[in-house]
Amino acid sequence: MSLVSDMQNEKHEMEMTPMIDVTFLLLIFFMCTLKFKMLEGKLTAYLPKDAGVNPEDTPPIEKVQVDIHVIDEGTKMTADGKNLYTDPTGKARHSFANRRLSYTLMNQKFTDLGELQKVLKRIKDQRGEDKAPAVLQPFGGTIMGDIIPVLDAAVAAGFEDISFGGAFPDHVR
Amino acid sequence: MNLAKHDAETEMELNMTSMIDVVFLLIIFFMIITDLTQQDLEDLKLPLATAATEDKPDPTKKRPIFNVKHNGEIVVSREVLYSPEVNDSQANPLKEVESSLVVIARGMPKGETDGLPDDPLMIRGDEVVPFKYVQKVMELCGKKGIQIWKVQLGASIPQEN
Repeated sequence: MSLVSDMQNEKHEMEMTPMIDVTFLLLIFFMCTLKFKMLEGKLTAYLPKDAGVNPEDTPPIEKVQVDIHVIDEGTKMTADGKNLYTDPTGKARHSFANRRLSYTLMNQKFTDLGELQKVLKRIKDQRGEDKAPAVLQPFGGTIMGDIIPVLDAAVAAGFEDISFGGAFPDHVR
Repeated sequence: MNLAKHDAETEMELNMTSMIDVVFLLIIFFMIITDLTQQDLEDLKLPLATAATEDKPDPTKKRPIFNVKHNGEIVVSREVLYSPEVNDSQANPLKEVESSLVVIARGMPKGETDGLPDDPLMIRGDEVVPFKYVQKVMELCGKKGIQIWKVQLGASIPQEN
């Protein structure tokens, strides 16, 4: 009789430790994945469609072209940006310090991305509803980190149809 | 007699907690594994972009992702298709990239009006990679037989805090 009552008591008590174990594990897992997912984003752009594919003549729309030039390549630094880059093999990551660029939009030259964005926004507001396409034309020496901010500025200014330079002349070396 | 009976009863009871533990562990393990294989994301430092839309891939759909590493290597599904050091001395250094693009373009749904591939190609370029390497991929996209005209450029969204 005493044994039976003992067993009944055991059944009523819930074992909490493994549940807490699992809960913590799940918590850590979701914390990790959330952090990874938040970081990644994307910007949509278009490439020039081959002229030969669309035989019908489309009326030429005035494009807003931004030329991106490198004025000063800057100093090559280590990945953390604290020391000069000295790796003789050139395989380690690097970054650039004091990089200077210029953006040319409708014969106007900008060196500040904020100003360029203001002008882009004004142009977009003037053109209003019609789908004004923007074209980014990178020139020699540009790196991915130079182009994306310009694309970002154009997206932020409201441009939806953004493409990359026409026939890809051998500008980029 | 009493003791023997007690033993028999306890043997019938199954301890579920450890099993549930293991099951959860397996679920988590497979979730991580599938995530990695489907995204094909190389470890890159992407340029910052505030206007970038958050990337929410459909886990059931496989999408093409081209990674361009800081040294110019083009990596697709963990396979190096082009490396400036190795391939630049060859006659057609981008041969493998091109053939991979052809396969991808063939598998994409085609637009009704123009018959061109309708899906975007995701290009993740490292912050410091010269743009000419990304442009190589873009140039190939316009080639006959590929003609992918939508691209998504990978960027990282700056955290608010």
